[in-house]
Amino acid sequence: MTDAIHDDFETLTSERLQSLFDASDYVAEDEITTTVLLALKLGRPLLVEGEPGAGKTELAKVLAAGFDTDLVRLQCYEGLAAESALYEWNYTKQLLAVQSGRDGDERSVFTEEYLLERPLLRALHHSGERPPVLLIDEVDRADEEFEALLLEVLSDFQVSIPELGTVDADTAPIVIITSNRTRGLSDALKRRCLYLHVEPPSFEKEQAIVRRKVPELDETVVAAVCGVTERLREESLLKPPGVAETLDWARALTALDGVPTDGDHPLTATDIRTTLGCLLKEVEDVERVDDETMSALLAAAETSSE
Amino acid sequence: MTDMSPEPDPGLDPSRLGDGDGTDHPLDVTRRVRSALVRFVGALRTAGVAVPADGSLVAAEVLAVVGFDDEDEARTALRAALVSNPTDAATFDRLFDRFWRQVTHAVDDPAGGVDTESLDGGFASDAAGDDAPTDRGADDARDSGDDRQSSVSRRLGGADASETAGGDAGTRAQFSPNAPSDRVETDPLEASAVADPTPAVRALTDAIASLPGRRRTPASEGRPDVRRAMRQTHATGGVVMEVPQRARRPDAVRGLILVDVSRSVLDIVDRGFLVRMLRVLTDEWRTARTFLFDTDVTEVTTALQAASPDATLREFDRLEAAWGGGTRIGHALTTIRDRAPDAVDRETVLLVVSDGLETGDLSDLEAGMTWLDRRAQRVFWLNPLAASTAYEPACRGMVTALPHVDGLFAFAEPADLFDMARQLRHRQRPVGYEHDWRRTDR
Repeated sequence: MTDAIHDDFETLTSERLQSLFDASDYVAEDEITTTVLLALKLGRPLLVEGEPGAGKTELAKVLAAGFDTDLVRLQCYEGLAAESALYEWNYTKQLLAVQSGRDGDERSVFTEEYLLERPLLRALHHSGERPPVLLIDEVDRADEEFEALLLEVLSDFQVSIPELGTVDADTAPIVIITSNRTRGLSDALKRRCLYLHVEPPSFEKEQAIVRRKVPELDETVVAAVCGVTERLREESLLKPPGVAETLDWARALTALDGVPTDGDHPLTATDIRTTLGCLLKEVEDVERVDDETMSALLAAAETSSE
Repeated sequence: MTDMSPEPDPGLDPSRLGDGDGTDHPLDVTRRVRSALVRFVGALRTAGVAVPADGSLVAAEVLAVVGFDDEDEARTALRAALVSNPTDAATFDRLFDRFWRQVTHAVDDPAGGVDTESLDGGFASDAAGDDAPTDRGADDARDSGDDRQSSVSRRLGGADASETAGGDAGTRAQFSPNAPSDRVETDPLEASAVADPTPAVRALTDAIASLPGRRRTPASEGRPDVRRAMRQTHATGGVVMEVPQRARRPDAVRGLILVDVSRSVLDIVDRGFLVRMLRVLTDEWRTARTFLFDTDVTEVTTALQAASPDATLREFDRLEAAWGGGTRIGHALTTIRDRAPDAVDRETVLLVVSDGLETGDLSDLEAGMTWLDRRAQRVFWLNPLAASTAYEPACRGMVTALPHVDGLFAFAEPADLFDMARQLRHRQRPVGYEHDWRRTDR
């Protein structure tokens, strides 16, 4: 069992972590900073739940970039099995080795040489200076059986390979597990993790995010963009826009040269209509934006940019 | 998963707790903080938060990392360790406030403060949910465990907190399963600040009346109304076109009232209001049998017929009625089933006044509620905790009882009875605490 915490994390402070987030333009409140700090110091996996587009995956990327280490990502999906997540034997290579009778010896073909490492094992076997960030993304998409598979990895940071033995991590990787809460996760999995629920960002936080991520956009347009998105979320939409959609839209507006930035009318109905596809991803949602809703959106844009 | 609370890791750094003046006793402080933490975790579980079995351990670990300098940091750390469902966050925050007061008290005052022997440290009342009526909020934010106890005692008639059955106020559990009951004080009831419950009880009686009264009214099914039929023949030349019917209008109630007088209820419901309401119910309803229960059951029907509220209290004393102990609703129901099986029939309306914080066997509660549900005409549950707009019946007792209940209503003041009557008059609409005036008026 591995419980070694990397030295850098043992002496890590919340100020240092916050500056790391700042350097990556990741807007994190104290709650996020404290919880991530705890996960790093205690060497426990961090289960991050929240609405899609709330920045859960981004958190892992930022940590990997901030600590200058590798990001090992395991995207979960229905039917995800051990062969795709843990390891697989390279049967072709094994077969060739057996057939060729290389060197005439009787060496086993169940050695690391014939092992294909998949993300979980790769994260444990990492040989870099700092432990990697293991991102197990959207774990709620995977089957419940897959959660059971994760338990050994998450509690002991080891993988048992029947033909080979147990593979331990020298230092515990930084494990970030994300979930969109489309289904409840098992108690066993939750018990092994610290928990962080990422709330949808407030208007001010979203403004700060857009300002950092799309610095070329005028301040008044940033406020208008966030105002429109916030107003749009009040509508009963099939898929309300998240922060990722706001950022997409902000970038799209930047790409369009015709956006006026005189402050009086930061956005026009045409701007919104032509770029609505960045915000709304369902045809029913797009059709809901009629003239009345458009007026409300424009009013929200003006109010926010004042 | 076992529900046992493991001892937290003694990894809390005593030096963190003991820094300050030289009189600190770090190890003692650690012990007290650890006790507070275990009680906090227990209170979270009681309140329905799904805390893992090793929650105390992880909580101790994270506290050891973040220390006690910053309340927000400690709150975030413990939330990350103990809460894995965003809907539990509000419950956590409420209980954390109490935990934090105990921790700061232990750190600031190493010689006194938190009583480590106390079974619940005053958490149990909060574990009930957000539950306290809004007018208690300000007091709650201030009072320590001792303050809480004295406030309970005041409600019980001004008895000194030290004059408890256990004889040791410092080690008394507040609402714990095995807390001893107090004999009912016979001191005169103070003039209650709460309004006279009579109009509210009458409104409720009208709304739930099921027994036929003396007056008759037109009805779709009943006896032929010959007089009306004859009068109507004047318009049809003496030909009887239809025979209207009439029936006795229900205006009376046969009731069975079960009142939970455990400490957790009495801390919220005004004792004067409760006694007066029970007296009015006994007076207004055609028949009403009333049982008080906490850990034991006492029938007080005759006592409620006494000449005055104070006389009722004296009768309570004579009957050796006790209140202020723990809550064993299931035990009470099965006891009534065994002792007074004829107390419920198909015309009986059952009122249960309880917060639902069952500390006894849930199978008893299930069996008792099934019996009552099968036999009584209607079963209404009046829950003092539901007076909070944030209340949800998530505790295990309420979860067990709810399928057998025709309506769960708030119960803190006469306005709640008026509102219950209002809801019940509209028979087609759903009823319950979700539709009460506090929530719908906002």
